[in-house]
Amino acid sequence: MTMVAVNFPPADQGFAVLVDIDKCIGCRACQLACKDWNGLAPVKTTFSPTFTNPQSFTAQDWKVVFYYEGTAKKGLATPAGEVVFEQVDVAPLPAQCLHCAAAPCARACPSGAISVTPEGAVVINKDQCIGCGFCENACPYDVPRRGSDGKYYKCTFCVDRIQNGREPACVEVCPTGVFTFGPASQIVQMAQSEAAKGRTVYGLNLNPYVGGQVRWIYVSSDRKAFAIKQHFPSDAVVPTNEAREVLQEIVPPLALVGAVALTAVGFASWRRARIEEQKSQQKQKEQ
Amino acid sequence: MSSVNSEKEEVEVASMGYRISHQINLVLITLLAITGSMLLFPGLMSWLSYAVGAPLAAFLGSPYPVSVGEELARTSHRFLADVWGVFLIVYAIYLLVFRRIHVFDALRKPLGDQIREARALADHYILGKPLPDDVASSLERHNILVAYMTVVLVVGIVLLSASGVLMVYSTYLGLTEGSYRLLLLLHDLGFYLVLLFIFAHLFAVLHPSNRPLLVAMFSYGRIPLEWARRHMPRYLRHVKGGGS
Repeated sequence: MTMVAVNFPPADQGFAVLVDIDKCIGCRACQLACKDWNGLAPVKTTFSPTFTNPQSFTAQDWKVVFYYEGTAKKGLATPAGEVVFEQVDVAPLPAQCLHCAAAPCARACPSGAISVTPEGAVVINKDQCIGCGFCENACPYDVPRRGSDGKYYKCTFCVDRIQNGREPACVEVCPTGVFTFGPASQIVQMAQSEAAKGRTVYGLNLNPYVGGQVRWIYVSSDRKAFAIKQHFPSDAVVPTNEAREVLQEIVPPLALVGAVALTAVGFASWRRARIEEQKSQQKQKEQ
Repeated sequence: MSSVNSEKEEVEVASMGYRISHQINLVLITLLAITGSMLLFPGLMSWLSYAVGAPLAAFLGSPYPVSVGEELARTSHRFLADVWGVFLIVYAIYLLVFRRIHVFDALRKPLGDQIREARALADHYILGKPLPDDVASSLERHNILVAYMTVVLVVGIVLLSASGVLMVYSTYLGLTEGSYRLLLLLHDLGFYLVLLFIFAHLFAVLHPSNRPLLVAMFSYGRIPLEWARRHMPRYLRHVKGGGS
């Protein structure tokens, strides 16, 4: 039993959220609710080419609405028949930690500061965090951020609210019902049925590096699918960290086997040399 | 540096400076390996983090001794690496300026001879076979296996130090997250190469047939002349001829 072990609840247990970005109007109420509930300080912002503000997550901004620009095919019914054309569109995408089923940040944390609750929330305990940044290095979604105190911060899934029978703050505040919060098994079923309808789904059948699934699952129609494609990596993996994990698994047993083998070989060779030396000494005596 | 003492039938193989440098390296590399392993293998080493962190955690009133231990490991790893880095730079300058680097001498031999020597040494140390006379008579102070393992060590140290320094100053250098991730992997690979060297080095020095060398390194730096005649005759010829 190790003192920094992480236990991941099965992906179909605990809670999950379905994020339907077709319904999102980009009002940022979720972003504000997150700051409000978690007591996060305001951060001085800067202008950018998009509406996204701040530009990305910070230690004080665990939920950010990103805005993406893309083209979507649209149909226009005319007396001469339907005309299909491409039109530039802007799609808001509310993002936060996706709470991976087997969170690589939790696996990477050397001090055991990142735990996974039975609800499925991946939570950083700031009192245990040593600020090494291994979580940031391991995260394929670039979520954990270093604060001014040197410790790392990110979305907690509002686990304090969930444990008291409430929905996460961002879910509760959304005026258009973008987020559907519920038991993970139910949400996964909903996402699967959305996928069966031909909608774009992100969050299921992912790389085993994140446990194959995340707890914040995104769906959209073709019209806004470009936002999902632009925001999330096509493969949810950090190859360098995956290689590190493989080496961390194989090196200790290999080193142990190597040490035992070398000791045995060294002893056997010394024994053989000693026997031969004794034989030759005996021969010399006999002569 | 090295000299033959015919009266005592001994020859010096490790000068005072060489032995002091070795002891400093030994202590620093051990501490760096332990503190690094606490961060690299937290599952395996958390007991040590706990043991190291518990007293300070009690003093600070922290209920997380493992975190305190890891924090100590992380800060001391950086500090010790700085100390080791300064030492290695000074030592490398000394070796280069005074032309003291002889560990790669065996690499000057033709490749065929290198392979023959490597096979003979492997047979000797692993299977206990005696060394062929022609191989035994051409052995340097550091044999071909030592020379190649030192190459592995140098590559490992270069990887460790370069990636370590760049990671510590990544913010000031404006390195991207992708670069940092690559540096962390290279740091790990450097450590594994050094670990490979340590295993081979420990096998060689703890091998009973090399006992005089082990004793020399941790005592007064001299080995019996008779042993030197059998294990490093070429080196002995250099020494007798007045070379170093």
